Formats: sequence, structure tokens, C-alpha cells
Amino acid sequence: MTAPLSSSEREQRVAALRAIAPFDRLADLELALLVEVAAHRRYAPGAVVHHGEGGAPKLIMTIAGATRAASGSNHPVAGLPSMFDPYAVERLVADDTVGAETLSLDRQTFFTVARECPALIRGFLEGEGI
Amino acid sequence: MNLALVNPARLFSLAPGESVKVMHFAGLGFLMQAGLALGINAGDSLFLARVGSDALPNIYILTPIMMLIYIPAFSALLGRFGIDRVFNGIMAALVSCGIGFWLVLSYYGAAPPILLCYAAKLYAGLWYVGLYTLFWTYVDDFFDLIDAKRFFALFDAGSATGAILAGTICTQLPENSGVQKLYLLWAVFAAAAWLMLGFIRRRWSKFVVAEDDGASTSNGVTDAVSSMWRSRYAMAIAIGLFLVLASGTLCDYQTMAIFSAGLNETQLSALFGRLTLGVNAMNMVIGLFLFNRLVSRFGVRNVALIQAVAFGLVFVWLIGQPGMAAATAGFFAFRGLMVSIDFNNLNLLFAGLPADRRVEIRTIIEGMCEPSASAAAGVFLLFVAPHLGMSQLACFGLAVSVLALAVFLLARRDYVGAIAANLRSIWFDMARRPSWQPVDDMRIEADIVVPILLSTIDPTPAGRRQAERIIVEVGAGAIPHLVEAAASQQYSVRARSIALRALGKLDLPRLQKTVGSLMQESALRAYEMLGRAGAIEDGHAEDAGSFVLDRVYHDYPRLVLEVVLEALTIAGRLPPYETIVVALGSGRSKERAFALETIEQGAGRKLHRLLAPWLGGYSLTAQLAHGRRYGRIPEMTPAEALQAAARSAFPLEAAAAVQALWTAGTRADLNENDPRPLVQQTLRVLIRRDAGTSDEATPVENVAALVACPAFDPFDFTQLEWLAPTLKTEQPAGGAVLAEVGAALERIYLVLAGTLIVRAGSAETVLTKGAVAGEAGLLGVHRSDATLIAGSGLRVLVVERHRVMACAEAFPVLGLELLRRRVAR
Repeated sequence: MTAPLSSSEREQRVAALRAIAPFDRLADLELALLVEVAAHRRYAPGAVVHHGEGGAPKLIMTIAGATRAASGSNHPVAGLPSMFDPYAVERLVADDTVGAETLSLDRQTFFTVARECPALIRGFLEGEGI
Repeated sequence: MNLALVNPARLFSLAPGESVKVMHFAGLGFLMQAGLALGINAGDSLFLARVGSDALPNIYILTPIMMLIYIPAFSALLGRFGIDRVFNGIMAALVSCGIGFWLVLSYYGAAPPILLCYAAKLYAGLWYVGLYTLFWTYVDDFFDLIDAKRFFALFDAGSATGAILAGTICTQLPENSGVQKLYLLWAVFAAAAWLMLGFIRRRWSKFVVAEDDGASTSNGVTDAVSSMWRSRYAMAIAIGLFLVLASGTLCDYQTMAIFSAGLNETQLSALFGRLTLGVNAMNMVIGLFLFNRLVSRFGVRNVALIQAVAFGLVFVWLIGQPGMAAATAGFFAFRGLMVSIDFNNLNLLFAGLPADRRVEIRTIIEGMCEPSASAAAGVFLLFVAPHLGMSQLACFGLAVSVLALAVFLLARRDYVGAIAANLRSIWFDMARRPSWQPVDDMRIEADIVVPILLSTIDPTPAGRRQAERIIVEVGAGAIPHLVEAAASQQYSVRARSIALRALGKLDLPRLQKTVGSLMQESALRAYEMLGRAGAIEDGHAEDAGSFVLDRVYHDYPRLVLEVVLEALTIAGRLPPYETIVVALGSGRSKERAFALETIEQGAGRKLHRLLAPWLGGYSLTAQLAHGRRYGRIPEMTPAEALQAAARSAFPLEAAAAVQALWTAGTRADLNENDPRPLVQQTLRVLIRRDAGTSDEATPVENVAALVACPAFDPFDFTQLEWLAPTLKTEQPAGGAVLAEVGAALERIYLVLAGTLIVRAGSAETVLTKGAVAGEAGLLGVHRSDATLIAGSGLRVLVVERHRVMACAEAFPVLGLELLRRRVAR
């Protein structure tokens, strides 16, 4: 169970998420609901954000700092392939100098959000976050 | 007999390569359980023969005290050393203690000291729980949730086979030879299990579970106890389990007293050997073939009543005719049914515990109920039972069983609501009022509900959520309108979805009561469509209209299925349907199998039977056969089917039927001024073509061209219907460049006639009729990776990329399928 967000935390996370394509296509209310349900974590420099193989599939949005995937990608949205193939998970680590702050969605929530906010899917299809 | 029918891999849906892994773990269970069953048999025989059943209450009291020490120690060791080293340590302990017991018992011969008999009984009791926990904790590291669920019965079967072997060994012991050899054999089996463990470690990798996200606000046990106290269902499960376990202990005491009368330890060992063999054979059959069917046929909440009833019947038998037959029934109820049915079913009952504290509450129930029930029964047997006769004791056992049944009846009543609350809590409801927004004091009248549901102003999900929020604000006054709308065909699918969602918030019990029959009606309407499909196929027409109709009837059940799954999710009978829909379309058989099982459990038997052909991907012929078997397919002629289709609420179905009727020469009743643009346009083109004033394609023919092209397989007929008005045919001059490599890819070209040249680097491909150029544009790719050049006599059907993207946004299910293909590229 996660603690309810304060309004300043919510606003800060909404602003951070809005800066990441394709989440910039979502309405403010949709973003606010999303940050309420997304799991939030902070990682020290070099810490493991996702174990990769064997780990639970997650869509991970880096809202501060940076992350680096095993493939070398440092895109702020990671884990999209694992939404469709739970075994297609990739190891993700926080940046060696600044660490990372992330929001993440599990598969169930991702698919609900995808149905409820189809602009997000269109954004992904048009190459944002892939 | 066809050997494939008894192939275990096929019988248990094992994928290639899985059989070996499952065999290894089932083998580990086999070796561990074989040794354990020998030890339990030896401990029981020694104790009953040397100490006597009168002393069993001491064991019932000492066992929970011992477990209260063991379980925290086990957890601490796990945390400190990890499962692998703890497993090694336990195996080493089993081997050395087995040899130790063998040596010491051999030394004392026929008269082992009483303390040693206590030690043997408690030692076996410790590992009865300890090895079970160890095995399943270890298995958890190698299999994900989906696999664990599929393989559970097979691992259980491996363990049961081990116990059967142990039972057989015990029956072969020479008369008066003593039971000490069984401890040596336990040590041998433990050593073999240890070797198997090493082999498994080298052969298979562990399934690493990532750390859970999110800051926990849990206050541990205090919060869990408080949450448990507030949940009537959780309390009922805890008290019911306590009473069932107490009944079991009383039953065990009486059966042991009967068995031990006049037998020495070797005779007892042989008797327990036969009983162990029989019980485990029964458990294996139940685990492999019966348990899932029992749950699916009668439901988890009814299966929960079986154990209390079984104990009640045994006690009645013990009151009426105490003897070996009644004692054997008691043994089977306590060590058979309770293990193979009640404990397994308990795992499913736990799904209804409050979701936010489920793990903690489960730990409390399991950690507290079992030891406290055993201890309470022990204290009772120690201080009260000596003043009672056996039949009075059985009467007391009967009373406890009846009480347990009453408590489980209460849990049975609350089960559906508890599960629904949990399933609804994991569904991310974006239509809910945000927690930070104040409640609006403005009153909204109930009169607004029907106009909102009938309006089609904003078909987007955001529009739907807005409508739902307004209706929920109306409150209880909206309920009658919602009930009516949910059941009425006057309302669109979208309106009915809004009505169901709002009803789920305003009056969930009413929704739960009606959703099954409502969804059965929806499914039955799909069978009416199937009747049309069958009749039209019987007509063997090959025109574009019939071709498109074939696609409509192929896709329609999928739409109905989605509506049904959505409704079941709203009613709290399924986990979020959005994930299930994706899993059903998934290429991974495991995910699909898991989704199918989830639907089977949530839909109920009647509805599931109606959905079976669409879930199973039956051919049209098989769907018709299934429908006819249940009398669901309306019989009609091809002409009647086309006439019915022409009146359809789906414009594409109507337009296709109009074209099919026109082609068949049935032109009466066709209205050129039909209000549906797709129907009107189709008919006008057909009339102009007949008059020789046009050679353009009808919208239905354009859609037929897409239907024939595999690249458009992800599009269902509603999406093709959406695209139809945007399609156009063009005839570019030979040599014209349609797209440059690296330039924007704005259009997708389906070749209808002539040739189209695709030039990528030095390679050149010539496309002919039916091929697609710029196919990547369907997946959103906006740069061409080749140059497209018109060849001779080219005629193409043009699909604009931005229209495809808009369609994907209008139909998120299509968007997700295209995205799945995009990320898999």
C-alpha cells in the first residue's frame, strides 16, 4: 500500500511526467490519476532499477536523473516490450552519477491506462518512447 | 488406444522442454515425501505401541510449541543464509538424524525408552510441516505464478507417489522386526533428494523476483490484525479453519486409539503402510484429476464445506459403530481429504482476504490457527476427555464439526462479495472521483441519466468517464434507469457499458445479481448472428458483399466476448479485462491458458458454455455445431439472412448485405436514400455501375480488398467500417514516385491491379495484385525505408497513415495490437 500523495508531490510528478513523450499527450486529470497509482521510487547512483530476466514486467518512466538499459538505451520510458511479452524484460540501472527517480506501472494498470487514454498508444505508435 | 491421448505432456499442457524440468522437481518431491512418510509411519507406530494413544494429547500440545520455535528459526536462517544453504543444512540433518535414530533404536531393541518414542513422534511432526514449507519455498524460486499454478498438481503427484512407495515398503516389513530400519531408509531417501537438489541447481536457473516497488506504510501485525477484525469474511475463515483443525485433531485421536488397540509397532507400521498407500493414491487422483473439476463445478465456496461435512459424518459413524471401518474413514478424512481438497481450496479462499493486508492476514491465520487448534484440542483431550467415553468424545467432535460448517456457511455467503471487492480494488478506475477533489454539493436530477446514455456526443474514453461521473453524482435515483439501460438493446454498447460501470459504483450487489443473465443474453445474440453466418455460407455466394459479411460474422463474437469480459470485471468477477483481452490474443500459450482459466472461473458454467466456441477459436462449422447442440442457432434461408443483415445496426454489415442482395438480383426493398452513408454510397455506386455511368468500386469492395490482405488482419470489421469512408482508389502514371526512401511515409498502398516497384538500395521488388507497399505505416512508422514507384497499369487502394493512427486511437484494442506488432519488429 502506498501513502497518499501530498498536492505538491502530485503536481511535481505530473509536471515531470508531462515532460516525457508520449505522456505529454494525456490530459492533466489523467496524469494526476496516473501518478496516484504509479509506484514511485528513488535510486542511488548505479543502483539496479530492474533486475531484467526473471523480474516482473513493468513500464518504467524516469522522471528525474537517468537510467540506462542493458541495450544501452537511456530513453526515459523503459519496459514497453515487456508489456506485451512478460519475458522480454531488460536490466535497467540508475545513472552512475545522479541516480534516478522513477514511476512504474504494472501490466494490468498499463493496459487499463492504454484503453482509457488511447492518445498514449498513438504516441507510442508514432515512435515516442520506442 | 491412441497413445497421444495419454501423453502426460499433452494431458497437462506442458510446452516442449517443460516436461524435463517438471520431472526433476516432481522427483525431488517424490524423494522428500517418500522419506517423510516412512518417518511419520515409524514415529506413529513407535509412539502408539510403546506410549499409547492416551498420551497423544501431550503431542498435540507439544507440537505447536515446537513449531513456534521452528518457524521463526527457519525464517531467520533463510534471511541469514538463503534457501540453498538452509536446504543443504536440513538435508544434512535428515541424513544424520535418520542414521542416529536407526542406531539408537537398534541399540535399545524391543524396549526403547519413552522419551525416545516422544522424540521420534515429534521429530516426524516437525518435518511434516517443515519439509512442506521448504519444498514449496524452493519451488517458488524456479517458477513464475502461471507455471506454479499449472504444475502444482504434478508436483503434488510426485510427492504422493513417494508416499505410496513408502506405504508399500512399510507393508513389507517382517513381523516383529521393529521400525528402526525405516529411519535408515529415510536417511537414504534424504541423501538421494540432496543429490537431486544438486542436479537441479546445476541444470536450472532461478526465477529472480524483483524487489517490490513503492514505499510501504504497513505497520505490520497491528494493521493486519485490525484489518482482519474488520473483515467478517477473514474472521469467518480464521474461526472456521480453527474449528476444522480442532475437529481433525479429535478425529485423529479417536482413530489412533482404535488402530493401536492390541498391535505391536511392526503390525502398526504395516497397517499405517497400507493406509498411507491408500490415502496417497486417493490424494494423487484428487490432485491430478478431481480437484480443479470440483472447484469449477461447485465453486470454491461450496468446496469449503466438504471438510466439515466429512468430519461430521466420520463422528456420526464413530458414535454409531466405532471400529476399524470408522477409524479408516477418519484417517482418510484427516490425512486425505484435508490435504488434497481442504488445504488446496484454502489457498483459493484466501483470495477473498482484504487485498491490502492479504499476505499478513494469511500468515496470521496459518501461523495461529493450526498450532492453536492443535493445542486447544490437546488441552481438552488431556483434561476433559479422560472423563468421557469414546462415543461422548465423538459427540463433542460432531458438535465442533457442525459449528465449523456453520462458520463456513457464513464465509460462503461473504465469499463472492469479498472476491469482488478485491478484484475491483486492483482495477485502476480512471472514472473515480479524484481523492483530492472536493465533493460537489450541486444536486443532479435523475432525469439526466437517460439523455446522457442515449447521447453520442463524445465517444472517447474520456467522454465515457465524464458521463459515468455525472451519473454517479446523481446517486441512488439513477439506479432504476441504469438497470433498464444495461438490459435494453435500445442503448448502444457504449451506453450499456457506462450503465454497468455506474451501477457497479452505486449498487454493486444488484449488478452482481444480474450481470450473469445479462451477459448470457448478449452471448445469445451472437448466436443469432451465427445463424445468419451459417445461412449465408450455405448460399455459397462469392461476391464482395458475402466476403465482407463472412468477416463481420468472424469478428462479431470477439466483440461480444469483450463486452462480456468488461461486464464481469465491473461486477468484480474477473481481474482487469484489459489484460485478459491482450492475453487471449497473445501468441504465448501459457498466458492464453491462464486467461482462459481465469474466465472459466469468473464467468460461471452457463455463461462459459456459451462463450466456449469463441474462447476456443472454433471454426464457423464447429461454432454452428456447438450452437445447434444447445438449440441456439435460428434456422433461416440465405435470402432471409441477407435481409436481416441489411437491417443491421452495423453499417458495414448492412452495406455488405445490400451488395450481396444486389449481386443476387434481389433489388426490391433496397433504399437509395438509406440514412447510413456507407449503405447509401454502396447502393448509389451499384446503381451507377449498372447504368454504365461509373466503374468506381463500392465501399464494400474496398473493404473486401483490405479483408483479403493479411496486412490488415489486426483490423476487425468495426475498424474497417471506420476506415471505409476514408479509402480511395488511384491510378498513378507509370514511373511516378509514390514515396522516396527516407522521406515521409504518409500512405499505404494496396495493389489492386498492375505493378508497383519497391526499390531498397540495389534490391528491387515488383509487387502485384494483393500486395501492400508501405506496410510499416500501419504500425506508425513515418519514414519510408524504400522508394515506391508506380509500374505499368497500376491501380491502388490508398490508406492514409494518419487515418490508421486515428483509427488506432478510436479503437484502443486495435492500437494495442498494432503496438504489439511494432515493438516485436
